[in-house]
Amino acid sequence: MLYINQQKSELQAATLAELAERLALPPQGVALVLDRQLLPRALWAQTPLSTAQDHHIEIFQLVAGG
Amino acid sequence: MNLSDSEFIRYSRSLMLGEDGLERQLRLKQARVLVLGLGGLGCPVASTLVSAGVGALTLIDGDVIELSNLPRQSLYQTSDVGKPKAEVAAARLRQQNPHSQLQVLKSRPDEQQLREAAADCDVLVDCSDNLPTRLQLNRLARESGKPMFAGAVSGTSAQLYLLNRHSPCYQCLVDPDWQVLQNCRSMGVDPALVTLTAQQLAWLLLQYLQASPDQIAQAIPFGQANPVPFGQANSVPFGHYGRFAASEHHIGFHWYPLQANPNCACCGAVQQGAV
Repeated sequence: MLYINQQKSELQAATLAELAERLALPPQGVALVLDRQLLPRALWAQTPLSTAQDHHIEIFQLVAGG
Repeated sequence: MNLSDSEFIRYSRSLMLGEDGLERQLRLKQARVLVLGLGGLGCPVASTLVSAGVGALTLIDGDVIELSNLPRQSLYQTSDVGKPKAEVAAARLRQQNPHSQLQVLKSRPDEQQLREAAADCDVLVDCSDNLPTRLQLNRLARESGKPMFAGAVSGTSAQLYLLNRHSPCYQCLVDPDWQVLQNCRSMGVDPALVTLTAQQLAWLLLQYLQASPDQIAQAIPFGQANPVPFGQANSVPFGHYGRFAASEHHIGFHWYPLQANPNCACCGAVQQGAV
């Protein structure tokens, strides 16, 4: 089961990149935490999501203001 | 180096914190910190560092004070509108603590000026308000091997990242080809959240600057093995990204280890897990 921002999700995806596509995440400015690890976008395509275990995913917008 | 009588009285409440209070205060006095950006984050960060007794700061900001800055940029007053931020900030900080040496850059520094300023400092603090500047300071931090403490706040989002030469870098996470990240001009900003974030950053900086080289070298790695890091002077969570969030049992900064991008053009060779 996937939990996205603390909500159960019925989405299924083989990798984080596939999940990002299903969620239509914007191509810039988004950060993704998988099971408490913050993963650069370059790693999303090679990061598998297993259906055999729960995954906790947090998605948030990166900001630059000060 | 020692403290003068006046400094002993000024810092007396800090000196009471532990048997090594004097050593810790003297380490602060010897430290030089670069603060890039004197807005909502930079004002409280610089103010807390100077008040606490950091010996020298390099203050950099090329902007002038605007009326819309005043709700959160605590070093400025209504009569300061139109004046250079770095100049006014330095004047106020000198009033707060005349013992700190302040160097001021009141124009936007070019690469070489910033490199020279960074070379003189022990720690680089990014309180800037735009992506190119953040990437520039990240590159200089990586080049110089200096630790970088950074905050970013826009809208109701607040983020911190703490990086050193062993950790992944900011560019692992943020692609330089991205045109822009949201900032206060585009999203607005919560004034109290900015100050809270700045003080979290300042607290971490003071923990780091007061620690001895041995304490830093022997720091317990922050993460699952050490789930309650704060309160230990030598466990600044380098290599982590913090995000202010509310969950079921916790309101505050949630910290995540940043994984390295092996193809990062800035730090590519950093090995994962070497924080």
